[in-house]
Amino acid sequence: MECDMAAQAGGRSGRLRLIHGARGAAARPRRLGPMADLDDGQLVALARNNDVVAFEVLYRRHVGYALNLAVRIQGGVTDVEDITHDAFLRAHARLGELRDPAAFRSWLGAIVVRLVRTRLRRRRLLRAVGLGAPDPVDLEAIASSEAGPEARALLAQVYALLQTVPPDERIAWTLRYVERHRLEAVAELCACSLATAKRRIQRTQRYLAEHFVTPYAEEST
Amino acid sequence: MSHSGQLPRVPTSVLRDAGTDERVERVWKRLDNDLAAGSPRVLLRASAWGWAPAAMVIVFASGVFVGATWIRDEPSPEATFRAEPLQPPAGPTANPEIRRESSKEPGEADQRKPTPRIHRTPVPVRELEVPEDAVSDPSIPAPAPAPAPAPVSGAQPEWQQLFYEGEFDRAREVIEARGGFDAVMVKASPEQLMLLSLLARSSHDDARAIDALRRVVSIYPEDPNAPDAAYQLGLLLRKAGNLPGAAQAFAAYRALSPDGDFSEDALASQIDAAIEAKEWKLAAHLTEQYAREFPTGDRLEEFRGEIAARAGAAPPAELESDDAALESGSGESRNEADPEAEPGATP
Repeated sequence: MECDMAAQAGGRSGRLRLIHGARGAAARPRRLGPMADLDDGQLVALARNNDVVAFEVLYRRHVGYALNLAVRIQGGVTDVEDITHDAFLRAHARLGELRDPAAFRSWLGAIVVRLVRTRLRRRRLLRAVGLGAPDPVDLEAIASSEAGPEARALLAQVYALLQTVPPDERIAWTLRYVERHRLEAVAELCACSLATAKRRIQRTQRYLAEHFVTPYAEEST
Repeated sequence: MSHSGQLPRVPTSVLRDAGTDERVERVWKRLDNDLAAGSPRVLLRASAWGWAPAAMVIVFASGVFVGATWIRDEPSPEATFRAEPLQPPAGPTANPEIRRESSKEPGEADQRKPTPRIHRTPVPVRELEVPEDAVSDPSIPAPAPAPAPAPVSGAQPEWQQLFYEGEFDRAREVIEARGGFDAVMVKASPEQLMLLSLLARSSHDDARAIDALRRVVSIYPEDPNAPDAAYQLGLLLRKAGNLPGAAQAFAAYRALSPDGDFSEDALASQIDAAIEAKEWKLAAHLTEQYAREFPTGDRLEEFRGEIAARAGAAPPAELESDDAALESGSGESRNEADPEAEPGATP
């Protein structure tokens, strides 16, 4: 994962890309002062009392996670800022409902997943009645500029196949194999049982494995 | 050789970080404003406005369903007449190895969806740098623009709806009931052909998937799906062992989408195919082309090393002079350098 700021020439086009990592963004919070050193549980307690600075620290600490989650589940950046914005707003409005303040990150992740799932289902419904085309796979949004052609081809093919998978299964698989969450965390983020999460992941994995075509000859991989 | 059934892991190191400073600040600015206003109206927007289009969709879907049912039950003589002239493509799209008898699918011509799936901004088509006879598979058509049949407006056919719902087995059953893949393919739009290729692959019927992808490339070369179709076609042909066909499909991809996401992969795959086919001169030429277009390409050194080791000749200077000769239009020096090369088979 890229972090901080990296500049890299962008291949044949020679364009320069600046990559800003989430930790880079979090590393320079404005006017946050010593609150940046507090843990999530303490910050949640302060934010519940309408401390905006505490909430901003929480935001800057976890916004990268929320943005990446939305982009990687969706396969593109369409509406991710709206999703992230709404997720934090909901989180702020419902901080009182959070039983374990230290678990803010996974709780926020579950909100993001729910919002993305709603969007994916809505898009699927629109498509089913002929009112929308599937979102294109935005490879530039998913693949790092450091990713080689093999990795880019892999991501493009996987995300193209994921577009044909029902949203719940797509989300579970992405959380497990792209975001690398443990099965228990996947179940928690998907708000389903562990068995259901496993079933969704296995079904998607089987489907992807059946349809995946390796883009390079074996001797070159 | 490429193969299916093995899904590589997605390494986290190749994933882009979406948390850019600009994006983080933009979202925070909105969030800060909403928090300062202290209003729940954004949540209201997210929920209430989300339902408004859904309600519209439900109303529209009901209308579409009723209309589609009516059309399907009582096909007008005019609709039947319009469906008559649609025939399978002849000539360049027909592959004698995998072509099958096609039959008509009654009434489905009026149900095709006219809007193609757009994956990326269309890009100008450029000329292929690979000579036409370098890879000779008559089953792969040249990507020259051809007049595409005018799409007919209407609702999606049932199999397409089932596909989008993830009901692949039922979609296949519906297709079989309507005369089979070949019959459906005859009247399918580019988007539907892409879906048919996926359906065929899901039942391990690569030949039919190849048929569908070929139709996209040959009949709808200007469709936004055409580059993807050409790339997928290249992968499947290579998997089937048809290296010349695969190379030509990859070349078609590069012609259709010179700056596409996979142009580097496609050129690399052309080189792979040339190396596997022991077309050393072609491989060397393509490698130099790769060096020009992708000077920082990951596989450049690999290709150069492979060619130098297995061909046992062709140092870079010679290759460059060969390229210069090619660009100036003189081909004699090539045959002098490699008298055993097939005439026109290598650049």
